[in-house]
Amino acid sequence: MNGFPILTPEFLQLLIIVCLSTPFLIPVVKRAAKVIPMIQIAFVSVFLVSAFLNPDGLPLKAVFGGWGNRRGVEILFDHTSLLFIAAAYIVFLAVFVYALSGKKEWQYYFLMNLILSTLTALFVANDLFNIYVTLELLSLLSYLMISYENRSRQIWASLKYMILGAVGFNIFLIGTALVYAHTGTLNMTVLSSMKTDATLPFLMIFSALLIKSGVFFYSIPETRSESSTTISAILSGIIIKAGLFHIIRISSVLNSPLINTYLLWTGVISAVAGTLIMLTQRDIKLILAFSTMSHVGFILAGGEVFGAEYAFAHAIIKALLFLSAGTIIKQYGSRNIERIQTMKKRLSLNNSLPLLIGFFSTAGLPFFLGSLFKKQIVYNLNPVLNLLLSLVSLGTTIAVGKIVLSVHYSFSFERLTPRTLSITFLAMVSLITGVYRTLPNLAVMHPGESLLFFSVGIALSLFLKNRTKVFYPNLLFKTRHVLGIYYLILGLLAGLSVL
Amino acid sequence: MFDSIELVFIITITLIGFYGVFFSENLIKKLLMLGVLNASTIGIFLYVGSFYSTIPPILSGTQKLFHYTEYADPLPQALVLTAVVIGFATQSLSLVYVMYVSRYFHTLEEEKIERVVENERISDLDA
Repeated sequence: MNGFPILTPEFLQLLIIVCLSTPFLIPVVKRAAKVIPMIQIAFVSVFLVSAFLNPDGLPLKAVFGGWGNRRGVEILFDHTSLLFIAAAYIVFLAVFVYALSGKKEWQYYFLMNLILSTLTALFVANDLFNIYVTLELLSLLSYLMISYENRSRQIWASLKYMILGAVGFNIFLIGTALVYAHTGTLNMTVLSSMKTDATLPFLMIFSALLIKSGVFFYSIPETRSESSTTISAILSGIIIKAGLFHIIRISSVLNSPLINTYLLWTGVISAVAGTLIMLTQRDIKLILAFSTMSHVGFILAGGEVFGAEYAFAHAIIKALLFLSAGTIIKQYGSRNIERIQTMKKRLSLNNSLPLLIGFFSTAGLPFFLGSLFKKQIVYNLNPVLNLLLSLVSLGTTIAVGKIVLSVHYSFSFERLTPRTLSITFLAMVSLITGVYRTLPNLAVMHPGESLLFFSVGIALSLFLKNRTKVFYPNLLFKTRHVLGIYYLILGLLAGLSVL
Repeated sequence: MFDSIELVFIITITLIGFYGVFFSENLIKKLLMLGVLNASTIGIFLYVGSFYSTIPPILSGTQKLFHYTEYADPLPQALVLTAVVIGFATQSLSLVYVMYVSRYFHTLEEEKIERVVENERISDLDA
């Protein structure tokens, strides 16, 4: 295929098989535990770069075995897959480098590498059952990783997430069975050409996927705040994108007004509620966990094109912020921003510059990653939602600004460690991709407006820093209440779809 | 819709599963109810597979090829096999976690654990 022999369906199949088998080398060659994931990352990067340079070669399709796409397992690699897989490999590269500074056992690298491979398989899955299998495998691995340090609160968060996930997956399976009964196939390409009007089954499938994407009603933020730094980064950065990826892909081939309204409003409510709760927190990791919730809302509201682009941006920014938060917590020995303010320690430039870049990107300053897509998402909505989401964006600036303003800065560099190297790498990626994406679309940007919003945000953040009361609505995140709301919304929508 | 007694049974079991997961306070009971829910999902798949016929899709030497409406659809059964295995894995992992939870908190009641966890979180933050 014009000079790119790599971009063939056969190579794609080989790639998936290689990715799913490399993690199992780690238990065999325990000494090479740190090297094997890097080799896999290098191998896949070659494929990703050639796909990026040769966009006409996409989409790639392949069916395993000779079963045909109606019954066989089909994989599809298109531009959305490229974005998400690239985000996954960038985040994981940073996380693997970051992990070098702590003393991790081979089990850690084995499970993390397995997560990466599962994500690769998940982002090319193109039939409902394959989606179920990869998503469930990913969830099982993430339950294990959340409780990796074996602390009581981690285990409890993981168990809650597991119960919620199990209910969600059963609903997903029921939806899948109904789709099969209606159409006789589970392949997404075939389903989209059938123009099926099966709203109820897809409603079930979407609500299950929403559980996996960390939106407001259906999520347990402790999973992201209680786990260790690298796990929080991959959970918030890339694992929640697994559900979002399939929401974006399936909703683009499906044309159901009810489902589109459901997704838009879930997104808006999630963005607003996430920001409101975020404003009243003092725990760094909880602030970032709720910020994820509000950004997921933006991605859902963005839909097919802008949503995917924004998901890529968010993956990198959130991983950067969580890893920077990890270095802050390491240096100050506390997660409480009120306590961090009172301490005399200063953050060196190696740590503070990436943190600031991450903050500018979430705040939506022009030319930083994420600003453009946030603008595009907001401008494509109706005026009321436009105003609402602009305020939400201001809220994000205020809340993340509290973290940035509570740390003291010094103007010296410290010795390069794996930690600083990893966050510097992520900051560089976000800077370069930010400028690369923004330059062709200068007309959409309104730099003055962004700067105004940013300065108002900073001023409010300074004003509110020590004046907000701490409020954590833990009632909302009990399994029982989450499940109750889940049943209620699903029942309501199922009733609407039948009528 | 409710023309077969099997479907009525399956839907009843599904509803019992949903009800049980929501209303049971004890974690072990919750997990048992998840098992019930999982079983009903498997039932739904089997029902979908036997839409046209319940004759197993196995050819013996003398038989001619069937028409697809004359035998049970093998695909849902093949798919549900995976779901059974995954359900088993989730169930065993969650039982291990329940074991840890009972060791840490000395109770299996959700409300009590939530209270302990919340107090611990706040005191850790102030420490």
